[in-house]
Amino acid sequence: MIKQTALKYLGYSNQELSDSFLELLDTCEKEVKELSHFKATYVISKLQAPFILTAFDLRVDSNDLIEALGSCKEIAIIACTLGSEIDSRTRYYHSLDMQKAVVFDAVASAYVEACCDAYEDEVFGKNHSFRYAPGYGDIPLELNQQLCKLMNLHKKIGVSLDASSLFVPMKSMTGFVGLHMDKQKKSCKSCTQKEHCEYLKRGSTCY
Amino acid sequence: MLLEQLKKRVLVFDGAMGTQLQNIGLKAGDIPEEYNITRKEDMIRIHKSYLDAGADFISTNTFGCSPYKMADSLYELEDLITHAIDNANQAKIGVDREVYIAYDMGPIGQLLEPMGTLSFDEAYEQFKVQVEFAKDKVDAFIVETMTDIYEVKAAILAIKETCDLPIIVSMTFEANGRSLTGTDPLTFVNVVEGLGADVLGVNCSLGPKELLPIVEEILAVARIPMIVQPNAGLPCLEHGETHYHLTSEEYAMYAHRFVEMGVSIIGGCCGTTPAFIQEAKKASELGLHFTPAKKKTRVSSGSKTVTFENQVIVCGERLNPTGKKKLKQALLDEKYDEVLREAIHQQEAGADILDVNVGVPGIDESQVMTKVVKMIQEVINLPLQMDSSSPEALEKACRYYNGRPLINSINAKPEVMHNILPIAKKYGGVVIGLTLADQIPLLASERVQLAKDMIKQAEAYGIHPKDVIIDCLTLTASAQQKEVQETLRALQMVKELGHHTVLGVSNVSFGLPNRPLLNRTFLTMAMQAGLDLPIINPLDFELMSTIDAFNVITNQDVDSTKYIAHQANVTVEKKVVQHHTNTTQSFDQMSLYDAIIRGLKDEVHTLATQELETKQPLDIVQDIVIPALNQVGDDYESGKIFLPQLIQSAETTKVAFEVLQSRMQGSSATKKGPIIMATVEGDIHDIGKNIVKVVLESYGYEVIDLGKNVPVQSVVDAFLKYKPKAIGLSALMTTTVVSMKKTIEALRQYDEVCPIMVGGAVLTQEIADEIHADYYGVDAMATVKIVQQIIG
Repeated sequence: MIKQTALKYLGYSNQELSDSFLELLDTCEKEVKELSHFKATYVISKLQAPFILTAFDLRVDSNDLIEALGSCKEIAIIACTLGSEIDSRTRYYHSLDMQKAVVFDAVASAYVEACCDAYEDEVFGKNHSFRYAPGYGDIPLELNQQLCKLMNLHKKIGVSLDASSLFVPMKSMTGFVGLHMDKQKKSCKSCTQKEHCEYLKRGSTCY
Repeated sequence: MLLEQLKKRVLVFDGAMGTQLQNIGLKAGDIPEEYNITRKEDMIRIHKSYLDAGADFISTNTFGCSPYKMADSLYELEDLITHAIDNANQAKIGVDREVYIAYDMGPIGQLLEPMGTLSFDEAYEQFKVQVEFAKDKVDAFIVETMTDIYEVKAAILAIKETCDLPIIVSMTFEANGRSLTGTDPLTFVNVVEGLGADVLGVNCSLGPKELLPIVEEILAVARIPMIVQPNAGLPCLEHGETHYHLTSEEYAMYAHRFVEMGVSIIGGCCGTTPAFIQEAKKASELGLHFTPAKKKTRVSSGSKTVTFENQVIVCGERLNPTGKKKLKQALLDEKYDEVLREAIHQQEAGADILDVNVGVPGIDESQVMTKVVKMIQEVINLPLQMDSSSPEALEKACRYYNGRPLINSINAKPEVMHNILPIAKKYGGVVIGLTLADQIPLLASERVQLAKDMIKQAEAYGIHPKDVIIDCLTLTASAQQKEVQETLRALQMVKELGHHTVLGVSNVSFGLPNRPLLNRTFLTMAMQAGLDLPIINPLDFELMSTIDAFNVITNQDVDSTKYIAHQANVTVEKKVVQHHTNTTQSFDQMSLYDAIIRGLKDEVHTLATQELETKQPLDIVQDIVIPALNQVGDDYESGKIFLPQLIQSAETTKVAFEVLQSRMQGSSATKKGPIIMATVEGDIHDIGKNIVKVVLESYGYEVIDLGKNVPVQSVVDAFLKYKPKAIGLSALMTTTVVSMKKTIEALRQYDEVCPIMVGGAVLTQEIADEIHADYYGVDAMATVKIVQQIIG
């Protein structure tokens, strides 16, 4: 699963893969798993219409969130990371072997998603929505600034934001998860990138 | 006096502040430090409750008072700090025993370079501002809950360079025994002791049970008193809320244990209450059990420590431009990729420490050395040896180095010692001392005397004798054959005096044939005489094998495990290589063209060399390499291959180019460009830029890579210096496109500026037009086409 997702991130569309490439993929998966220190934290909040998280008194202006989770009673706001050793190793490969750097990076992206999915199932049970992250659709990316402070992410899981509001360590995510509900069907309908989407051009999707 | 008391008894620190504030109404998103002003009475009451429970310290409610975190506050930083200290003073009223006010500094809240964008100097300022406000009003500083040892260094220096107050440093470790940024307890102790802290220890994240092994690890090596402040157990996330379940009775048991183990200050972190501190007080009455550990010679990076004991430690010598034309040129051209690769290869070959020397006439040694040290540390965790004859370069390099460095070197000349020993003292450096003054003494006894003089002088500067490593100077056999043995005699005598020794080995064979034979024989004799730190070429497999063999014979490599692993492989590898080429195509049938198409990095070197037997380099480029690359490009665009395969072919072509370049007359003959590339200011994501760089280089373009988070002015300076044919800028996010715009504006001030290309995940043609770029490259291949259009 992780390797397939990683291949998708790398732009794979049924090209022929050599044995040495498949070995590289395996090695990267093994290394990512060894070097990751997955940490996660969450807060559960009641929801007030249209989309106010009562736990933080935080209002989110996003039609996509309202549409996806507006009917929920309870929302979990989740944050997680694979840790900084992944960043270190990626840097190392940049200097040594760019191909490995790119594959390693894609595998790490796939792995953090998989770890977060597993964590959600473990903590919230199977009845929860997909994860909706700041930066997707019209969910403002700036929200991460507030979430970082409100959830004390630096202290809890060692995650902070750099000068351009991107997470450090790089393989870190936040997201909103609707509790006590089923996953909805995913679609490209509301994505802001659909005009320029490289996946769609290849006949694929990012999910 | 605090430091006096620490020699006599166990002291008690206070307990959790955050937990107490949550109990009186602190909500997520509130700024706890504002309570110093808005809830003064409550703050004084909380401080008093810990004093009543028996605490000897009050830590001020200033944990988050970095300017970065307090930027959102309605109150001025100075006011928050002044009120915090005032509240602590008020709580002291009526307490008739000695109580210490410790100014509490927590992490800044942003990650330092190289992982983040906060520079060391900026971090230093964040701490210095606080120290200035507090220094005249408190008894000590505590820097706690730290996860990054580099940030710790900035804090310690900020305090030490501003006042003389005692410094307590406490780090947070995970259950796996390392901090979040990968620092182990031994490295923490070594670095912090080297920087001159007065107390060190651990707090937060874990309960006392989980902290036991970490406390044990620290006490085994610590030479200064230790502080422990556990959480009230591991934090439990229940329905999104954090709870701590350890009772004060359970805590009491551990507090007693910690004191018996040798802890000098005991307190509590998250979840603890005055009841816990009462237990701490009872435990403190067991009396002081601390004895400093034995002093050992240790150097560290941020995440690895090398201890000098019985095993030989290898220092890699290759990062030294003397006699290395390629490295010299790389430093002059600012091609730091070459330098990094040299460092990585040495690490992979088994070096324990790396020497770093950038002394080339015509470069700013201070600036380049600091840059190179930072770059290497981003990618390698070996401790580094700072090698320079310029005190300025050494000072700067040691300051920005993350860890506890080796310093190469001092000698017995007074002015050299006076210039460099203070640097070693300040940054905790272990110093190499060369046994020479105005001349190299011929006799062993004379060299030993100089060694003693240097160690005495180092002690006068507060440097422990074990932190000086003596170099008895390897002389050249062809010029001073009688004196070579004096080196070995001197080495033995120095070792018997109890000091560690170092030698640059290859000097012995200069001017004689079969240098490797002399080198490894001399190395063996020197190790037998007591050499601890040979400075050698780790890529010399025979020389490294000599050390392997020595370790077997001296019973250091028990069961010869390492020896077998290294030496058995030699024969096996040869077989594997032959087998591999038989399973693909036989050498006669595979062509250079095929190797590039298929991205066969291992074969391409031989194939390119073979082609050179019958063809001119330029013809090979025109007739084979460029057509192969074009095919690769077409295959990528048609979807026959995808990104990793494109990169593989590009990296293969680079290897081919290196072979061809070495034969071409006039190195600028086929180098087209240069092209400057940079990821703009504020952005640390450079994977896209690096992919484009590799592909451009595979087409024979010279690329000058300015790196990531490149300030606007640096791009302009590079444009003026290198006069490139094109500039490529990369940015990942809408937030950093702003920097891209500013960079382009600054460049456009020059009428003669070359074409500017932009790329990155967020870029589109519309945005590129908006910010006045000349071209938009959607991916690596598109960028190549643009560059071919501009340069040809």
